[in-house]
Amino acid sequence: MNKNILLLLVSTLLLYSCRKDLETANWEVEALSPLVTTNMGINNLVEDSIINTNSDSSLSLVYKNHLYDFTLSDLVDPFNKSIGNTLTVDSLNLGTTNVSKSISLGELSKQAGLQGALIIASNGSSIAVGPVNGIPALNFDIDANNFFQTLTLQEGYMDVTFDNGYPVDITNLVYSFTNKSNSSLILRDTVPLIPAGTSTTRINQLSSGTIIEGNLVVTIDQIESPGTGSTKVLIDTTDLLDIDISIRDLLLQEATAIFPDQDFFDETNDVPLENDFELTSMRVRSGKLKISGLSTIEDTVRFHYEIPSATLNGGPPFAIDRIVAPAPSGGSISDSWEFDFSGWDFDLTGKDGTQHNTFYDRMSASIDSTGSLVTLSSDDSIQLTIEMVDIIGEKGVGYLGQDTIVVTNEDLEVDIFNGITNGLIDFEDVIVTFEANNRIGADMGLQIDKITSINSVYSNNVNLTWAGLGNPIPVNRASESGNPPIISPTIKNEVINASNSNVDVLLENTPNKLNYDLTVFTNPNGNVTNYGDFIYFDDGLDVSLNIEIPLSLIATNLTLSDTSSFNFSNVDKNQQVTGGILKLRGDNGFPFDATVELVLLDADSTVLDTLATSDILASAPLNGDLRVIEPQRSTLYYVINSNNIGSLRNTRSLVFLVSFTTGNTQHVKIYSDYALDLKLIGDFNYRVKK
Amino acid sequence: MKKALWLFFTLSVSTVFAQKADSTQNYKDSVYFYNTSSKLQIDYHISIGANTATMGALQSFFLEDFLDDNKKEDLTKNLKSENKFGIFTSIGGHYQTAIDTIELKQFIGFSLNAHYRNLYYGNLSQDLVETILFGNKRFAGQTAVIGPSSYNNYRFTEFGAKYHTNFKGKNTFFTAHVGANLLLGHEYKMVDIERGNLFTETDGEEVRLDIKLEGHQSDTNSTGVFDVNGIGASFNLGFNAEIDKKHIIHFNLSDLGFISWNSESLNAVADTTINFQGFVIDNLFDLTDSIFNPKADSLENAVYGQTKGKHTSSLPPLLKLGYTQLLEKKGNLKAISAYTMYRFNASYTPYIEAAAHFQFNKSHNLSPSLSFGGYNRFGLGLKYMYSAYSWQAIISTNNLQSLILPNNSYGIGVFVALRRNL
Repeated sequence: MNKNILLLLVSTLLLYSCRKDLETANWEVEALSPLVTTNMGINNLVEDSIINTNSDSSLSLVYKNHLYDFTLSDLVDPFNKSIGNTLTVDSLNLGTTNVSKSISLGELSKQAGLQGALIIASNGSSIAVGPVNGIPALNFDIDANNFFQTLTLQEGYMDVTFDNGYPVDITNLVYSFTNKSNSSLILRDTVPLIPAGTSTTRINQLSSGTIIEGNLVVTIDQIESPGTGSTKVLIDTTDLLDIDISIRDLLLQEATAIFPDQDFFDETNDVPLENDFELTSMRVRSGKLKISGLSTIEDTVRFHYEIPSATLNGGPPFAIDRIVAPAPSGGSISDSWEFDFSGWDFDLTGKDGTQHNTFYDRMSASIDSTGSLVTLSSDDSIQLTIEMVDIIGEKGVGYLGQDTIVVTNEDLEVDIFNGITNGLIDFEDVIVTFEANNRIGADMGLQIDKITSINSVYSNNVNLTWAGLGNPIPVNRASESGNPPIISPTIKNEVINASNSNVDVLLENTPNKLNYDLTVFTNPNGNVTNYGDFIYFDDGLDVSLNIEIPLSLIATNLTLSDTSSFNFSNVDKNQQVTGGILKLRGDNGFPFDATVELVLLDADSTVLDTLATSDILASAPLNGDLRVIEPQRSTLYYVINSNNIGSLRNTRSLVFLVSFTTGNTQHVKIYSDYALDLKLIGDFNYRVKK
Repeated sequence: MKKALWLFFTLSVSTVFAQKADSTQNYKDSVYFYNTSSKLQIDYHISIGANTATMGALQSFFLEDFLDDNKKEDLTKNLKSENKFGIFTSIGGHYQTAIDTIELKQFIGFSLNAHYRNLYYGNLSQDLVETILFGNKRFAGQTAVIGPSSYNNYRFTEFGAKYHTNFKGKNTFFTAHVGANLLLGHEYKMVDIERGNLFTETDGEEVRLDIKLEGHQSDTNSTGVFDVNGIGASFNLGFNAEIDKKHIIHFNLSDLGFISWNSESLNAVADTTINFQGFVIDNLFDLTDSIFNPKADSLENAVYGQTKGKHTSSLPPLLKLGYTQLLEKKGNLKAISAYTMYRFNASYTPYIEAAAHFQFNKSHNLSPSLSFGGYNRFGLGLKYMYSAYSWQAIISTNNLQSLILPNNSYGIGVFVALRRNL
């Protein structure tokens, strides 16, 4: 028992003595301290950038907003065009192949039996030659390998000319052509009569699929002669029968041949640019020309491309020559080239100089003979593709057309009145200017059709009443001069104010947006400059709405709302503030009374509580000119009880509701030196320990 | 609960031991730790006091959950220009070899001790105490003079060894010791406001602080009970001289040492005047919570630059001088004694105490005392030692009326120990 008590005692003493700190009671203190201080000018109520200080130090709100614009880039899409030509070997010219064969009289007579022996025996003397027949077939080899090795034809001609140098007529001459390798027949023909000393040509059309090889055999299947009767003729056994063979006008299916140099394509075309203008010239801002070639031709292909109507800085027209190397046997070869067209000038009047939006080009292709046998088939080709890629104009000259652009039901967000949630405001004057800035070398017209002021908070709309509605406002063309040219835009301002419209009411509606309709006319008077319009890529017509509100106003409970993130738990992490008074002391240098309410919102933006007071920040006193004499000091007291503290601890956002009321029925001006000094003072009960 | 704990450790120990008396004990052991035999002791000591706050008010401060205005008024009603306070706690053990007192031959002995100690002490100006307890609004339109003020807190463990020796003269018996302690510093806080004036504008529009201070704090990220943030050493020495077996003179000097705190310690100095008129913001409507903490930090930096670095602090040394006259009467009154004590650099008022020592039999020793000083005012003390077999239990207090009439006393010291002769 005693040991247990001893242990308890020792343990107790150890625990107590080894504590880090002596614990003390909690208590509360009354802490009185400034928290934040600020000097607020009008720039804290409206955006700084729209405040303009007038010469008398009064302030105006100057608000410029964009209504409508277009530039060349909006009007014309980048130009893309692909120009392709596929060239096949059926377009190729193999040329005319000529081979010859001669048969002497002596050679032929050897095959002519007894009559032939008589002729040979009579060489050098004149005899009457009797009829000759029964000569067996004669074969002669013809070598055309110097021209081709083999040809497979779709069509073609083989012309055979017989020149009879014998002293006797030849009759019933039957001849044929065969390929030596396989004795396949190319053609067979019969010549009924070839008088002595004359020639005759036989034109043989070759059928599709005919194969002609370089090693040919000509066969004289039959040759006869009626003789000379009783007429004696001089016998010379060296007299010749010449056979000339001409192979021509071939349409090839396939060929293994030596192809000669030849142009096989040469074409000039107009290339139109699709757009709504009628441009006579254009300078390219950016874009490329891509050329690609794909060839299965086993020979060198040379091509040429030029755009005679395109020049760079006054230099020679665009022209390029490129070579596509021979394709490997049974395969293909490709190549491509790219050219930057930035800065190039295009004449867009076409080849004949009378067109618009059109340039012309020329493309040609040829084969460079290698002098060697190459094999081509009708399936072989070279495919050339010319691509204009993303051509964007820097400047266009011509006639920009006559157009009417209607803009309807467009919304213009207006943020100068953001935060106003309640109350009335009356401006002494409002000046609204429609500003049209024309940087295009074409006449324009601007017509305001409708403007509606929309306050979505109040659900209140006000339409503009103005005599100018629906009437076009001419905006003359811009001009350019110098080199490089400098553009002198035309700026047209159309001013409306409270005296010629209800624009003040429009803005006193504190709109969050303006809804408008407008119409823009291009060249309302037509092509008055005979294609002298111009337009640059970055330039166009810009229409803006300029609002100037002199800050001379009457405010009645005009309430601004502003929300800021505020987590009270980050300030009072240990929940030590238990209540007190929040004091807002203000030295008000503005000519209006102000009240301030704080609305506490939780994370879901649900209202938890409102810290309000009936105290006001009283307006500064004014002199006879309605100028502030000196700031007026007031203090607003916000009692914070335990319920408020509970709400504060769940607060994630603060909404400041500040209401302004001018203390006079006259319009009062706001000057640049007006300010509101505010100091937030905490008079809190603060629990020292949690 | 805290109150029960308080009462438990101050009162209950006196009823713990009821064992057979050890005839070897004598009344000298009730006077001072006389080296008659080897001993093992565990002890606990707490001393709490404030020269201007009653024990009742202090009890409220430490034991109540919440101080209402009445309690705060109790704490402040006696405030003076200097308001000293001190709280010292110590718990640990002690082992000591014996010195032969029978043959009275020269003897060399040693002792070992280990204690976990807490020291809080300081001296606060009246306005600072009131500002702490009531807030600065009480001083709206006035200047609260918050300096000179100081606050110190040490928490450390001490491991010590002592060398003992004695000498025998013709009519004297002289014992002396010298010791050294290794100190493991756990925590240290010190603020010394040399000059401090806090002005609060009537309506709170401005707070102006004119201050010159020095402050140090050990690693704030290492505040565990046994986390070590500093190393140090302390020394002690003392003697008891018994003359003619009638007079004993005591001398003891302890806590003569220092602790070197590591480089994670925070050190701050300030000598500046700050006019605070609120954090400046551009627009009240942009008021967010996120502006406060950075701005508060920058304000704090503007008041005092705070840097990390090593710091060495010295312990407040304790000097004790005493005299005991042994009485050879056959009655129960065996001795009378008086001593004075002073703790340097600790806002300490010199302490004096006179005591009478009674021995009723071999088991019961009782020493009533009368004291003044320290962090206390007058105190009526009582020490009781019960001996049984080889055990001794000791409980003493220097201010009995704190237990009985806390609202009329200004502090208390309690010492309890359990000792065994080996």
